Amino acid sequence: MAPLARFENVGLRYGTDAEVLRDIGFRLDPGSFMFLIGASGAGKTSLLKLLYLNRRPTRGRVTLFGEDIGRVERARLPAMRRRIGVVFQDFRLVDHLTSFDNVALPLRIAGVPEEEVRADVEEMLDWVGLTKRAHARPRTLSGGEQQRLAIARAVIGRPELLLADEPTGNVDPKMAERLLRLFQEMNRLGTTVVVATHAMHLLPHVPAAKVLRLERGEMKDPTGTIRHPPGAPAGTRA
Amino acid sequence: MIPERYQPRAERFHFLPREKVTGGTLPWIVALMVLLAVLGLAAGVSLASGVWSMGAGLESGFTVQIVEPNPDLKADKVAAVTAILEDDTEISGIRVLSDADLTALVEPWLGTGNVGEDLPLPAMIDAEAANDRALARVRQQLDASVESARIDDHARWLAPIGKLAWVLAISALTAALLVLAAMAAIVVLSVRAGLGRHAETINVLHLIGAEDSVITHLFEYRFAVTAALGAAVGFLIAMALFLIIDGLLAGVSSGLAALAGLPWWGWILVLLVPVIAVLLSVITARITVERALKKAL
Repeated sequence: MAPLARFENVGLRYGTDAEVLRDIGFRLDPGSFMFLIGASGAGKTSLLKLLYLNRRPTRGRVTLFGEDIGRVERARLPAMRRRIGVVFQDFRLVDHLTSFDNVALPLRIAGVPEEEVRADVEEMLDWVGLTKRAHARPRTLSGGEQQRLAIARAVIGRPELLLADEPTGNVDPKMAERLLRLFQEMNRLGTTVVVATHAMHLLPHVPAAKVLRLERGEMKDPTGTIRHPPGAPAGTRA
Repeated sequence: MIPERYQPRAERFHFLPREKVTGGTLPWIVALMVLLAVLGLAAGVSLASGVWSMGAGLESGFTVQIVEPNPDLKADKVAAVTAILEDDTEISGIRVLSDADLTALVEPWLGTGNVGEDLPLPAMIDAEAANDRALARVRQQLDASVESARIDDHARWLAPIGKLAWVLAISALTAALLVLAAMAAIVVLSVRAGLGRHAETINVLHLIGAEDSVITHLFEYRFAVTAALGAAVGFLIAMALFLIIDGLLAGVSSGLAALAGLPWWGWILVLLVPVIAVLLSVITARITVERALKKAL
């Protein structure tokens, strides 16, 4: 099976600074679920940026949907991005739009008919428990509500690849588990899911997930098979 | 207000906040620029048209002036000159100016009723030469046979004025183009300010799959509406000024002012100014946005 994404000896640097990612190599199969773990500054967000096409690698090769993203024409990127859903660490909600319009944004960009947009968005807002806040602006929402809104926007287009950067950072444990169930459900329906997190307690909820650990920009678990790093309590994966 | 169905998708769904472009000042800037460009162009075209009309009249015209204080001798010389002119087949439109014509020419300087019979006025004969050779031939004949007859070649006297008018006309046209260029520069700055103000939102739109054209069309639409509004205001003010100037020119019955006036093609050029202003705004906005967006991945 052709991988959905493949990293080969990938390096990334911002400007002339030192590399934030070094010699990254792994494959992401279609329909798989992967946790990306590591301390703050380990390079999780930078790796996600490569996956959601915010950056091109400065060396090595990243292949996504069969395209070498270091060489793919800029004009082709929007279509590729529409196959990806992203939950940004800082949410990146659009302040002047209501919750409803924020969630509707990917569908409207894709040109989905407005009747379908309305039905889908209402269903999604109901799922994340924000129906009553449909007309609220993001800045009037709590941190948890904003996070749920960001997740709703990321999954509304039923993306082939869902990337989530610390998606449970601002929600209570109960909501965190609920959101994780949403990701699992999407994964079950065929979406490839990558979750960057330092919430190790979430890992046992997805036993089949591959775990990729980053440390100072380098992979410490290239095969994804190290499930019990030293110091982790028995029975947990971290 | 433009109906929603005619708006680009990005405007209809408020992808960027609805706001007045550059805080609402751009329509007034465009209005001022269009006003200046229209006035500059109209002045330029009017002057050029006047010069051309003048040139056409002067191309072949000349006047024979006979300075002779003795009335009897003057009459003889007029008859001699007229005979020479009439004998030449390439000379036409021969007209001896009457005493009344001569008085009318002098009165603006001396005052009405101040031109008496004791004032010796030269005799003047207007005529038209088919070409330069005919004029040279007549000049030679008059020099040889009629003492004190002098040919006054209109074009020779008025040529420097014509050149000056041409320079003024070209300067006015250049000024009109520079005004439109300045407007385009202001549009560039406005677009860049808008892109900077909404950089974060534009980045998010890109990351969730928006093509550059989504953003570009939104800016094009906003600047088209803004420029159209400003251009309409500027053009209407210019038309009002035209009416006033036209009324003032109607009272001027001589010189270049009488010849000045917009020919039909001048009106087309003037009508094109607001259209060009809107198109220029839209194209400038598009190019500026496209260039800025291409800098990002």
